[in-house]
Order: sequence, then C-alpha cells, then structure tokens
Amino acid sequence: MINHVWAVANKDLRLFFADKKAMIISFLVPIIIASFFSFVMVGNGGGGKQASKIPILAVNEDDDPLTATLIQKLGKSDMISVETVTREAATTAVKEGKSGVAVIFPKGFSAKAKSAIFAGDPATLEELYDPTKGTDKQVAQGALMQTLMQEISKEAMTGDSAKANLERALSFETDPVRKRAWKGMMDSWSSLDKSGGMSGGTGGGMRTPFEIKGQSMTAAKDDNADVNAGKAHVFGGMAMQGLLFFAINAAIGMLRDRKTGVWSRMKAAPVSSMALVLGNGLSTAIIAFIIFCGVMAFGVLALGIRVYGSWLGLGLVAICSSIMTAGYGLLIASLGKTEEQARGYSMIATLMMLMLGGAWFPTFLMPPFMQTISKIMPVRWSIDGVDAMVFRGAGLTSAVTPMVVTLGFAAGFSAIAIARMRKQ
Amino acid sequence: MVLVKDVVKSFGEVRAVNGISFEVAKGTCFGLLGPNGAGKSTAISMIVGTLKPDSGSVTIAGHVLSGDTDPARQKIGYVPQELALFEDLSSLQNLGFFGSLYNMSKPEIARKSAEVLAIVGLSDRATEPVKNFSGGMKRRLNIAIALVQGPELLVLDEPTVGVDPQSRNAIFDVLEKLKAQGMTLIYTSHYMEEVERMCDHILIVDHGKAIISGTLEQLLDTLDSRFRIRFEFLDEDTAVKAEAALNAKTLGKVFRKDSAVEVLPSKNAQAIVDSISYLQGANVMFEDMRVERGSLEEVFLASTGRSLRD
Ligand SMILES: Nc1ncnc2c1ncn2[C@@H]1O[C@H](COP(=O)(O)OP(=O)(O)OP(=O)(O)O)[C@@H](O)[C@H]1O
Ligand SMILES: [Mg+2]
Repeated sequence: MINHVWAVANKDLRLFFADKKAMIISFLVPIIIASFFSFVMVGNGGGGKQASKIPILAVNEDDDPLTATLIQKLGKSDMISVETVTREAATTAVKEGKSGVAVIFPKGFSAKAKSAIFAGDPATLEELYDPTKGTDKQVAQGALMQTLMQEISKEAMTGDSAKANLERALSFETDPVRKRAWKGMMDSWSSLDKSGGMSGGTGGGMRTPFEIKGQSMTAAKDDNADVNAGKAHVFGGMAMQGLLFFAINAAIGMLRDRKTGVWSRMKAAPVSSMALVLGNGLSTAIIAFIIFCGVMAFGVLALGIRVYGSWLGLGLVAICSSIMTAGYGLLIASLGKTEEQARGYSMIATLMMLMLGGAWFPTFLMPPFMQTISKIMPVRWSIDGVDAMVFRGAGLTSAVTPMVVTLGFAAGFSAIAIARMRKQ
Repeated sequence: MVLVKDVVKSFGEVRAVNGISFEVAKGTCFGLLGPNGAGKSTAISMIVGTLKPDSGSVTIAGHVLSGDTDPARQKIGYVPQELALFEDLSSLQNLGFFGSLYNMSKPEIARKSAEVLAIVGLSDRATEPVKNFSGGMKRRLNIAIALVQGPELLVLDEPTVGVDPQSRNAIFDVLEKLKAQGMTLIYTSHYMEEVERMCDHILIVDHGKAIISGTLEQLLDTLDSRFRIRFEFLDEDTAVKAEAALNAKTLGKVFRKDSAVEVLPSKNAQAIVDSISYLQGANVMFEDMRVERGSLEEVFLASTGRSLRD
C-alpha cells in the first residue's frame, strides 16, 4: 500500500517537473502578482474605505474617573467601537492581528492631560497597532483626538476642578502676557461650561493635552516593519492562491486519467483505489509545499521580507496548508464529472475562497458579516498563520490554531472526496 | 486458462454485454471480433478485473478475482484500447511506475524493462519522453508495459488502432513471438484480417451478444459458399432494382449497401453466371463486378445482415 502510494506520488512529481513550462507558471503567477501588490499597495495599509465601525481595545490603568468617562465617550463615536481589556490581552490581540489598534491610558493620564491642556508636558497615550491595518490606526487616532480633546477640555474647564487646573496650569506659565490672558478666562468660565460646545482643536490658548506614542506590534522594531508586514501579507495570500490553483490542475489531471483510461489501466494492477487516490493526494501536497516555499522564498530573498516569528511554525502552517490543498484537489476531482465542468466550477469556488479568505483583500477591511464568512474559508486560516509567523513575530503556539483548522478542512475535504469516489 | 460464464454488464439503459460465455485454452489466442460498440472493451474490462460483471463470472486460472489487490492480477497483462502512458515520462519511467504497481523491486523492474523494450523494439528510445514517439511506437510501449510484470495471459484491446501497416506488422511479430513462447492471448479487433491471422478461436459479438464462435475454419464452413459476388451500380436506384431482381430468384443471401449489392451464394456452381443473367433479364446494368474470397466479413454479414465496418 505505502509503496503504491509512493509510486503514484513519485510519478506525479516526475510529471510535474517534466512539464517545465507548466511548472514555472505554477511559481511565477503568484510571485508576479504578489510582487506587483507589494510595490503598489504596501505603505497605505490597503487604504480601503471603512465599511463599519472599527473595533479598538482600550486599557485603563488610570484610576481617575475621567479616564473611564473618556473611554465610555470614545465608544459612542461614529467611527469606532471600544472594548476595555487588560494590557496583556490588548498586546496579544494586536500582535496576533485580532485587533487593529489598542490604546492604553496609563496611570495619571487624565490628571496630567487636564493641566496639560493649558501648559506643561502633554500626557502620554500609548497606542499599539497592527501595521497591516493602517486605516484602523488612522481612524482610531482621529476618533481619539476628537473625543479626548472635547472631553478633557470640558472637564478641565468645568466645575470645581476647573479652577484648580487653571491655577495649576498658571503656575507653569512663565510668559506674563499669556498669564494675564488665562486669568481673564478664569472669570468667564461657567458660560463656556454650559455651552459644552468646545470642540477639539488647538485654538485659543489650549494645546493638545496628550500625545500618542504609537508602537507597531510586529516583532520588528525597525522603520520597515510596516512595509514588511504588507509584503508578507500579500505573499502569504498569493502563495495560497498558487496552491489552490495548483489543486485545480492536480484535480483536472486526475479527471483526465479517468477519462483517458489511465485510471482503469492502473486499476488492472493489484492496487487499491485508496492507494492511487492517496498517491495523488501526497504528490499534490508535496508540490503545493514546494510552490509555497518557492513563493515565500522569493519574497524573502528578492523583496526582503523578514520572518520575525517562528520559522518552524511557518513551515508547519505551510505543510498543513499544503495538505489542505491536496484535500481540496481530491474534492474537486471527486465532484467534477468532466474536465471542463470541474475547471469551471472549481475556478469559481477557488476565486470565492481566495476573495473571502482575504488572499486579495485583507479580511479586516471587510464588513463584519464577510469577516464571519471568511472564517469558513480555509485560506483565511492559512493566511492568518503566515501573517502571525512572518511579521507578527508570533511563536510556535500561535501556529497551532491555523494548523488545526487547515488540517480539519483537509480531513473534511478528503472525507467528502473519498465518500464520493466510493459511490461512483 | 480463462473461463467467462454468462457475463452481463449494463451502463444505465445500455446493455453493453448481454450474456457472453467462452473459454480460452492455455497457450492459444482467442479473438473477440465485433463492430464498434459491440461490447468488446466492456467484456475485456471484466476479464482484467477493472469492471465487475452485473452477473456471471470470470475465472482466470481457476480463480475468480477477489477485490482490487488480488495477487492473481499479476498474471494478467492488459493492453487497453486507449494508450495508457504518461507522455512526459520516458519509456523506462513509465515501465518503472507500472512495475511498482505490480509490486516489483527496483532491480526486477530494471531487468524486465530492458527485456520488454527489446521485445517491442524500443530499446534505443528507452530514456526519451514518450511524447516524442510516433503513434506506432506508443502502441508498442503500451504493449511493453503490459508485459513488464511477466504475465501468463495477455489481453489486448484493439492494440493496432491508428497504426501504420509497418508498425502493425511489428506488433504482430511481437504477438506471434509471445504466443510461440506459450503466452495465452485474448485479442479484440474490428479488423477481421488481424483476427484471422492471429487467433485460433474466434467469437463474433454484436450488440453485447455472442453471434457465433469457433475456429476460423469452422466459421468459414458456416458459409454456404466460400466467396461472395459484389456488384457496383451507377446509383442507389439502380442498386435497389438489382436487389429486387436478385432476390426474386433463389441465389442465396442478397445485401445492399448504397449503390452496391452483394450476394452470398447458397450454392457455388452457377451463382456467378446466374446472377449476371438475372440482372440482364431485369435490364439492370452494373458498373463493376468482383468476386471475393469468403472471410469473417462474410460470416459476420451472413449472421447479422450488417457489415463489420458500418
Ligand atoms: N463507461 C460507460 N458508460 C456508459 N456506457 C458505456 C460505457 N462503456 C461502454 N458503454 C457503452 O457500451 C456499449 C459497448 O461499448 P464497448 O466500449 O464495450 O464497445 P467496443 O466493442 O469496445 O467498441 P469499439 O470497437 O468502438 O471499441 C456501447 O454502446 C457504449 O456506448
Ligand atoms: Mg473497445
């Protein structure tokens, strides 16, 4: 049995490498498309128009009630939705690409910000972001600016604390002209308070009371981290596209063998159908793995993609994705009646899978319902795994979920395929 | 060596094989002759174990094939009607692949590959990709592959389709050599000359049914006479008239195809002269007349009323 499986796989490998043109195309197509997108798209993080509120994470380490209010107000913004978590959870979520942005309000943030609106050093707001989600970061910063300016200035100039803040601010103020101006303002305070109409901005004597200290959550600390992430994402997507397209070819090869009588010739030998099918599957998986490695190697060697995470994890994700590819190939072969029919249907299915799985257009830029759909696409999990290993700098443990899920798909596809073949 | 008993196989509504039985003795060549769609390939597939009969049985050397991996399959060499070759691989790689499906070891494969390539005369093209081969060479390799595991029975399904006369002769030489070495052969064709030349025992099939069987001599003996008369006419109308004129007398069997009429005389002596005079009597002019030696073609014609090559 094993010998037969290997004999079939070995024959398929020889055939793959014998047809030089077809083989080169298997590698070139994903490489060319990925290179193209790397040059065109990287840097602006996809730049798509936002279809939904961007979910951000907030970490409150400040005991000032104002900070809690700020977070609550942030959540009411049109642009973002907010979930409060711990610093660890936020760090992990952004690192693993589950969230695009997390803002951390450190201890003493609100107190410092209230006074800094008038004078002194600004308070620091920490921001963790995923470099592939440039839009998330921009939208989140816009919302932060607007809400925080509004709320902090309102608070700073309202009620009991207003005077104290102002006085505290005044103590920093050294310029006598500005000092006089502030004093004048203190007298007309309450009217301003009621109007509540102070919007963000740095008009008057006020300044932005906080600054955002952003930190890109890849393992890379160099300036190219964001570019690297974009390229890596694109190459991951295109590698998966290369794999699935190869699966179609492999399936069509199997169907052709059936039609031309090669299959029945092989069946005349003392060999089980299962061995023949597994042999085809094995060769598909091996070739898929080689294509995957070829495409990623090109990204690494020619376009300078750096792998910050676990190489072992990346390799394992690649192997599992290749096995999934083999299962997919068998599925197409079992469902298709003729070559043409199989090619047509599987092309549509594959394009849908690639599209919804985020191979072309990152899933996080999709509306929420599509993001949910993407989870039933094996491609989504493969790409997530590649992203985690390549630019998120994640360790081996982060590879486990993508591996398990893609293997699950592989098992599901193969089971359906074998059941269908049994029936025929 | 082979015993086929009342096998039936349907594909949906089509009864491809409808109760065929025959026996093949060791070291002989058995010919399955029939027009396109007669059910030859379907019958062959049941013999080599790639199709399961709906009913009936196939016994090879006293053994009914049980399942996909029955070791008895080693004894059967199968040359399918359609080339089963990997065009991008060389002859040796093709032989190696099929050899390993027959559980052969590497050295065994190397030894047998060289041997069978020599038999079919392809030794000098062993490492070249098969796609560079001519049609006849591919056919020969198709046969070599069937021989690689050293079978006792060689089943050939139209091994000469689309082959030039020279390659065809080369193939016959190979088969005759194998037969001389004691190989049992089952051979299908719709070329009667091939079957006449090769086979000791012949079964004519049509529409999935056995029409007639026996040795070549026995089959020819079923003919009332060992020749046929063929008239060609100017057009179909004339031929129709001629057919009627000839049918009016008791000459034998009369068949018309387009503008030609053939007579299979029931008694030899006067048939040629008689038929000409009947035509003259009916005032029908013929363009050409030939007398042909009786062959399996006539046997088929006589038993089905149709020509083999329709
Ligand atoms: N797999 C199949 N599915 C459906 N019908 C089939 C199948 N194989 C054969 N048939 C039908 O069975 C009949 C016999 O076919 P078969 O191939 O056995 O004929 P054959 O004698 O080998 O003809 P040829 O000389 O053209 O090779 C035909 O009517 C054919 O259409
Ligand atoms: Mg046939």
